[in-house]
Amino acid sequence: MSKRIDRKMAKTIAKEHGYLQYMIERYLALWGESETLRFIQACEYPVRTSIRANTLKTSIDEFQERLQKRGVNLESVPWLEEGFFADFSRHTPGSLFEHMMGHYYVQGVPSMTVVRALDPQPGEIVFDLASAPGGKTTHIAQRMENSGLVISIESDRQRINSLESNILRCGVTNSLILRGDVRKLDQLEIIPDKILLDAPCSGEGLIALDPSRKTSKTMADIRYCATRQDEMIEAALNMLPTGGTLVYSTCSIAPEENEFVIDELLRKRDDFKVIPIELDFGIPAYTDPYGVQLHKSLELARRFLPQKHGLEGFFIIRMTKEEVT
Amino acid sequence: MTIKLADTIEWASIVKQIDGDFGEGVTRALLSNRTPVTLQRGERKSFYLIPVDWVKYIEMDVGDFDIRYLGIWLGEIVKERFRLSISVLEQLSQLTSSILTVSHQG
Repeated sequence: MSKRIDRKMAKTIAKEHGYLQYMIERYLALWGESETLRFIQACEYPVRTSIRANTLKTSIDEFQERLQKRGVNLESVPWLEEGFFADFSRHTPGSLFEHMMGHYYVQGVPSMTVVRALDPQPGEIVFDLASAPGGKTTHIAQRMENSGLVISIESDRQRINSLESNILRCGVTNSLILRGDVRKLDQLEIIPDKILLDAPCSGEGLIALDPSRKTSKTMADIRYCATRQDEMIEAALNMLPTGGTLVYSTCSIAPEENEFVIDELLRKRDDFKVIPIELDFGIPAYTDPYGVQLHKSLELARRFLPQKHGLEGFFIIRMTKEEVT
Repeated sequence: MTIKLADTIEWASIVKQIDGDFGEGVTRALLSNRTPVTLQRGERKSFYLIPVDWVKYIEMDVGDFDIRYLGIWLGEIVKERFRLSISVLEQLSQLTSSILTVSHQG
């Protein structure tokens, strides 16, 4: 961090709100005092429940009608026609018959937005990396109208069970699940049109959902995640053909897992560029976090922040592979 | 775990069972333009239906990766008995006049 920070203030805020001091030091360097306090306050409120209508099983009209009859209040997400904030009042979101039948998927708005940023089309070949429990795989299949091929890759044996279960429940028929390490992608002989890498991360954007995150991860954990993310995104870029699209996202607000990861790649490789996301959401990503000047094209990436959007913190960037001359 | 095209004799017995339970030609309608493949997991042999043009993918080398699932899960053979997957029942119900009952007993 090159910006000067007030460690005494960080210590006081951290103690008062139950955070580790290094986190508050970073927030102060990133946002200053008043926005840091707004962030802390926003993380004390639960994130609104949101669901995605699964058009592989039902139409959006029928979905709305059935849930409204069940007493569920729905409010559209402006940039996602299939996304809704949902107030289930007396029900739990997973308890309805319509959920069992796959008519909807309980999913955070940023996670839905990631797939729309990728913009998968019918007939394409799409890789979904680190894919369990399958929210994004099922959404990709939905956008592709169950045509083409979604290759869903996950390394965790246990988590694959939930991935399979969600694929079955949502009526997905165009997926192929592979278990294995994303960093070995070059062993596959299938060339994708698009790749989604929602990378495993420190989860620093999920404090409102999991308050234990205030103290559960150290700076070393963030650095470990960033190293893995760097390896995974390199593997993904190596698999991508010229003209192919890669969307990288994390549920972390840490620039170390987002802007810095991409900036390092942009310095290292000249075969890809950041491209705009054609959806109106969030705010631009940072180009000078902590006062460190990063690649200007990072402003085309987007962020969700709890204190600005009332949602989980998220980072989403869209890139394309270019021919090297 | 390896993916193989379904064995002809084994597939014929599954067709006989499904058509016997749900009506002549139902398996062909369920299959449509897909082909059956199998995935062996221990004692269980799962049957999946995949588009014909996916056959090239299952013939490709996947290195250290394991194929865990693909296309539509039709069902599985456990101890020489074929059991339909719950995931095809919705499609099956549109192809038969038989009544489908789902129970814990199977």
